[in-house]
Amino acid sequence: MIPYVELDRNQTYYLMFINAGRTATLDNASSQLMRFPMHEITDFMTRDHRLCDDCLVAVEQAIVNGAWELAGTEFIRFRDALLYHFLAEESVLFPRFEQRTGMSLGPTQVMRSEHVQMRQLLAAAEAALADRDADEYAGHAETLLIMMQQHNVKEENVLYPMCDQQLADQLLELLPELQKQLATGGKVAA
Amino acid sequence: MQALLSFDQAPPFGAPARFFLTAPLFAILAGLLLLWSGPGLFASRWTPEALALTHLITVGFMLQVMLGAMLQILPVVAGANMARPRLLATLVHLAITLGALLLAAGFLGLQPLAFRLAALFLGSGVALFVGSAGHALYGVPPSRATIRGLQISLLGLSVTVALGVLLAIALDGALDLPLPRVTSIHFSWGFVGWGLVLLAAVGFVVVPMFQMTPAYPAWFTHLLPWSALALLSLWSLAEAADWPAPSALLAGALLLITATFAVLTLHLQRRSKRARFDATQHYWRVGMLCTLAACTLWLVARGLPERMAALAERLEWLCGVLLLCGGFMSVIIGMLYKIFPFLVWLHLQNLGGGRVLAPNMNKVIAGQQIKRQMRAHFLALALLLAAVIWPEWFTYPAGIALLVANGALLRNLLAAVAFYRQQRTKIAALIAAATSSDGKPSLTSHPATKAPAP
Repeated sequence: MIPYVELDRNQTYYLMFINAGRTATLDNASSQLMRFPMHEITDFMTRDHRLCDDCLVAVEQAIVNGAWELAGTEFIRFRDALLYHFLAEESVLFPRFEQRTGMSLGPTQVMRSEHVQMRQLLAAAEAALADRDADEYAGHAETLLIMMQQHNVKEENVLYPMCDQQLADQLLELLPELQKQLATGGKVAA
Repeated sequence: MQALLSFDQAPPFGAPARFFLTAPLFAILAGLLLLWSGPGLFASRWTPEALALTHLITVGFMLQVMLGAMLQILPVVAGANMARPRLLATLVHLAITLGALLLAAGFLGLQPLAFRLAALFLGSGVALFVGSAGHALYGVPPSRATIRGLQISLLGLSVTVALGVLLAIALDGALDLPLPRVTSIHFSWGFVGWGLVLLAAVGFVVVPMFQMTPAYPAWFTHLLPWSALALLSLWSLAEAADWPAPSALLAGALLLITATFAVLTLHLQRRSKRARFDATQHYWRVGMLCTLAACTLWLVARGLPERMAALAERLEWLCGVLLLCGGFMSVIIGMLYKIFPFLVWLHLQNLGGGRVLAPNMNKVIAGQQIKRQMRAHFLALALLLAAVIWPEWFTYPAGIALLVANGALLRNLLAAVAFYRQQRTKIAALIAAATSSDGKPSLTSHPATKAPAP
């Protein structure tokens, strides 16, 4: 078993945050403070969150205007953006984080289970869009939006900063890999 | 190795829900009080009926929802788990509900015993909550302005209630206090130290989140809780020491902060990316417009010469109605319409264990009912404002409107609870049926539920 990497005070707090409403205990937390905070992963992934938000808004706008064809294409853009974002996390970022920290049942597990819920909502929204049922779509989209936003808050404030700290030495290979994964979704990744 | 996670620590649905369901009952009582007391209530800010009305709204309505919501958001926003949430919710809810009823009874009957019991219940209920929340928040680094805001608002609440307890004991002459001055310090801490700071701390997160607006400027989110606390403390000192000039200056600064928050929120709302405004956004907008109007009227009232004291008193009344019914109640109800359905959805979704997709949150309360309730609330607000100026004409219509608007709010929240119960049974049955047929069911098999191949 991979031993724990020493966690500092911030990370202990981050874990509490990720496990909102649940119990998180860490037995080897030390009180060292982060000396050189890096933001590359946080900035990069946060930009992609905003991009997904914009895509969702574009679908909503098209439906309100009654442009169902456009709504369909915009939805595909949104769906791909979101799913490739999840995939980039699940196949690149999370495994590296888990490997480094030895925490496969930690915050990444919570994020993965929220991804499952969001995939379900996405499917329900897609079905409603196919039926051209504006009310049904709005209901699923609204639920998905709140789910996404509270998920993003946890990632942007907690998990990504932890990744920045834990994976600082892997940035040179990690960022291009993430970028490649996100770009597969047909997006212009900055 | 110890398991890092256990999934059963989220506050149970009933913990925040009981606070949310009790709040409209107090606003209904406020409506009944208007009908019972008639136009005489508006004779002065200091009539027993007016004081009872104010506290039915602040302690009965606002405090209920705010404590219930804090119970829910502290773990999410601050990662602060409160110990034994179910027991805490039961005790605090019981104490503040009894306390609010006794307080209103105390004002109406001018009963020293009712005041003392109200002070006991409200003091202990709030102390228990603040102690518990403070314990959970202790040591959480305030990396975000929201967390600092929540901590400061708890301090503001403590000061408000402590002064309130002092006033309740002093009312029958047991203590020799300058009552009007302590009262004005008491309600300023309530409005700004507790109400505004909490509302802003929550708004910094939920306005951009629900309405898809740009974020509030970072400098403002950091500045607001601290400066509100500092200015309020200094103002209280100036007020207690009877220094009119510094007191007026500090009060003006507090007013500026409040108005800035309202203007910023309105400005952000205009940049919302959502295709159309929903009830929550309308409620926020009206709430912020009322707050701005109240700030303006307060300034005008302060600037009037002594001989126009009667007009100044009416303007202060209008400020009170605009802030309480137009500002706080509007925003609180607007947020309830997001929080309550999302909680229903989230708890149902967790019950389904990822195997059943819960009905979406727009199904929890019918949109048409929300719109109707919103119109009733705005009508009640308009009639209350009219009743301040023409009490003989508008007191009864305002009372009825307040009754109807909050009856509708209660109805909507109860509909959500009924929906939750009905779906809970349905989901349990679905899971039982699916498990007995093939062992491991999956009710969603749409292509988009699967991740695309890399």
